[in-house]
Amino acid sequence: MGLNRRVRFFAGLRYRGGGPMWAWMLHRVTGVALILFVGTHVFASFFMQQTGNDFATTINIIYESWIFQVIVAFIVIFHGLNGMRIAILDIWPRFQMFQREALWLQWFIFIPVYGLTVVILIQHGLTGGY
Amino acid sequence: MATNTNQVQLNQAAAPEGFESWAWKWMRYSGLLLIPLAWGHVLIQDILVGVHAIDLDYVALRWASLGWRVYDFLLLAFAFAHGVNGLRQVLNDYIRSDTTRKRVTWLLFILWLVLSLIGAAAIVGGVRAP
Ligand code: HEM
Ligand code: HEM
Repeated sequence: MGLNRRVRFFAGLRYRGGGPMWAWMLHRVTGVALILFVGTHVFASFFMQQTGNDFATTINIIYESWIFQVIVAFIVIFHGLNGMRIAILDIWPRFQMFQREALWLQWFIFIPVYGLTVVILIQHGLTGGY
Repeated sequence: MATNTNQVQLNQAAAPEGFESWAWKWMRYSGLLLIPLAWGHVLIQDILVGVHAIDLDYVALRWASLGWRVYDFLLLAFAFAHGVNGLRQVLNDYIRSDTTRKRVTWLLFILWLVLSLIGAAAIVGGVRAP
């Protein structure tokens, strides 16, 4: 393998891909974060429900903190919206020529939806006592 | 923009049929299905109900109705089949050696199987902890 692909992180970010490239990176990061989250989520639910295991209960308590909620909400909403854009553009390639506009539209939807979610989650956090 | 519909279509190469091609399509279609499933789940559990109202009794109550069991089962099946395959695609981008790739694929297959079985067992078994 002669090709040297080692590029430092910040040098990589400044590559001219711009917005769509950052969306791709975020999609990757959120995708991997999601599978890690859902894996532990199902694992912890199982052991808490079947055995009342302390470790599993601790995991679930961490999930209940509002900071964690706000992060999970970002991951689920971003990955879902961005994945929807990818799927639609790939299934109907004739829309590919609007891909930059699609990305703008996506952020336009993301910001109010995520913003509202964060407000609700923090309200829950304030009234819930954690 | 200079591109028009014809050009976009001309640029499409015929994709070879095979496992990777199916896996690629799978990511798109299962992703679209996960939007109602995963977003619905997070909307109900996290935003409408809120984590502070969730405990083992709540889960037992929800799983008392078959509909939610089926819903959770679909979510489980699609999230892991999508997520673990996604993780495989990500790892394959960074692994250069074929032997390591094969080993990682097996590991991921086992991970997928274990997580799906644990999740299914939880849904079938229901809440048992005192
Ligand atoms: C909410 C609805 C979802 C949609 C619309 C969606 C859509 C997609 C799409 C279209 C891809 C393919 C990206 C590509 O090939 O470039 C993808 C990748 C991926 N997804 Fe999802 N997904 C969703 C939920 C999930 C969930 C719940 C998980 C975790 C359990 C997950 C984990 C992943 C992973 C790990 C990847 C690989 C990322 C990559 O190749 O860079 N996704 N998703
Ligand atoms: C932070 C937000 C979340 C909360 C508060 C939450 C809460 C819960 C609760 C209380 C259950 C127990 C079953 C029930 O009541 O129906 C459950 C099960 C489940 N959740 Fe979540 N969840 C969250 C995020 C997610 C995400 C993002 C996914 C994946 C896309 C997911 C996938 C699942 C699955 C597959 C089950 C079934 C578990 C099993 O088979 O044992 N959850 N969740």
